[in-house]
Amino acid sequence: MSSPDASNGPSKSSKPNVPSSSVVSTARISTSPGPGYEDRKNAGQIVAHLNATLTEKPVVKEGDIGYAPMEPVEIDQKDFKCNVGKKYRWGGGGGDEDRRTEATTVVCMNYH
Amino acid sequence: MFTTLPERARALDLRLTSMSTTMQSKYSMTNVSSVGVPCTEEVQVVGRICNEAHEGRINKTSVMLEGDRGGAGGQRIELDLAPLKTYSVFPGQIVGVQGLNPSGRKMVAKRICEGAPLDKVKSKAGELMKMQYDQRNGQPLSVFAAAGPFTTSSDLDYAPLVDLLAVCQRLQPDVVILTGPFVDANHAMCRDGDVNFEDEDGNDVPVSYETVFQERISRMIEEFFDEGQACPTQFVLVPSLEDAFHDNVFPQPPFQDRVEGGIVMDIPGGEGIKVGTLGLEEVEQVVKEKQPQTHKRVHCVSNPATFKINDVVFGVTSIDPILALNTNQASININRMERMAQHLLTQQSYYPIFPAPKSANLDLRHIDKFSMEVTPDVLIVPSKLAPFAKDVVGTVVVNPTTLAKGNTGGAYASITIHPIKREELEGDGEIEIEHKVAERARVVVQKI
Repeated sequence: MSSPDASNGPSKSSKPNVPSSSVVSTARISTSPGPGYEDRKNAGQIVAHLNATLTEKPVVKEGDIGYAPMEPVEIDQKDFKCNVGKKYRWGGGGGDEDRRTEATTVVCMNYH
Repeated sequence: MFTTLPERARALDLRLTSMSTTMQSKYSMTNVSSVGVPCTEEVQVVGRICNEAHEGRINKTSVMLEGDRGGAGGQRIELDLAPLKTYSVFPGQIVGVQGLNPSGRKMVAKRICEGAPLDKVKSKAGELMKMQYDQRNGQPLSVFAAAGPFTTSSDLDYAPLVDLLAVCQRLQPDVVILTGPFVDANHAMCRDGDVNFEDEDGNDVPVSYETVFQERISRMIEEFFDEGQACPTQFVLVPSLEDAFHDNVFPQPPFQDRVEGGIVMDIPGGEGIKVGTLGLEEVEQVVKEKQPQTHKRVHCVSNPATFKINDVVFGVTSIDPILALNTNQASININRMERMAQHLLTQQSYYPIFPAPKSANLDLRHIDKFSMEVTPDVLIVPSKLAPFAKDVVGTVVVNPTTLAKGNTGGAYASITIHPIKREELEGDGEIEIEHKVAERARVVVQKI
């Protein structure tokens, strides 16, 4: 007696001809947490770049040859009014415009 | 969040009319009509892109154009983009359209103008010479950019941030821009309220999210300055909507102490614990002890923020507009990432999408606070999408992606901006010249 698979070539359906009650799942469920941060690979690998042929800033510390003192960079927001200011007020709810404008805030927000 | 409908409508209309004025003058648009006015000849209109369906993604058959309230009464008409070879539209985008609208209900587009970028910042040659050569001896400016989450999903040890700070200690960049979330509200431990630190006796003590920032981020930056030799690095901290201890509204104010300097708790079990502070003042104190003649080292800015580092204008936001644009747009024949970044510049906004996804709580009354005032030289937009560094209409746009990705490490960006050639700056110091940062910037996004 030949099996249906042998007579018709490879079956498109790979379901075994066994009662469903006897099917035992062979899928393996991994219980390990997988590679963690310490096990990561390719640390330092470049994933995107622009003008990569330009040089990096050389690291010359005080005492090294070629060291010249530099002034620290200046970080400045004052030219841009679009930034949310430092002062910030939580309203008591209700959208009281008078109370809002009284506050010396750049941004004030009322929440319900 | 409390914003009334009229307030929101007014904000949206103001933005539409101001963009319309800019576009008309920039592109010398003539024969401009109102949206929805029937005309047998070709006309130009400026309006806002809307999705016909109230839910779901926009597609080429559901694109509508909404006019302003003054000229068009805010009416919406169908927009047929089929004749165009390339386009990219998303809800909230202000566009100029040239085409035919004989019925007044449907406009067939022949040309589309997807916004107008603002002018670039110019500086006087003399000022640039002073900053780049007199103050810095022609040395390039080095900026690192990294985005949160800064800890892996399994713990609150902030190991990727420790590694980044070690790299900073070695390479000594001038500025490190850190964008939130610093204490991620979506972190499993924060979500479950399972945030405990060990006390001196080895007992688990539940702590606030503010304390996590204080004990991890502030403490690490403090140690960064405390260890090793004098380091010139300055930090810029940008908040995120996902920061568990900060206001969940966009635009976001900068980090600040709830109680200036904090207060020491005097309750049983919590003696000596400082609350109401993020501990950043202590970082400054440590720096001052080590280098008395020093400058401020930790700068808290808003989200979004536009600021200058010496002469270079930086724009930063942590809200991930690239992902929001990518998931809700209709386009054909485009370089996707580049066009998404271009939308921010041409729409003159750090978040031009409207309506925004549920995760972004926009306060439209402060729409001017997330509009761009100038086109930045460098735009940092951390996104969950693949990292990139591109020259987009003369602006360097960088997506450094996140420093931690699930249980493993992510990436950070290293930006080196070389000075303008000395010959170009010599001569008349009063001449204003463009920064052209894209030509002299080296950007590398690398894995941590």
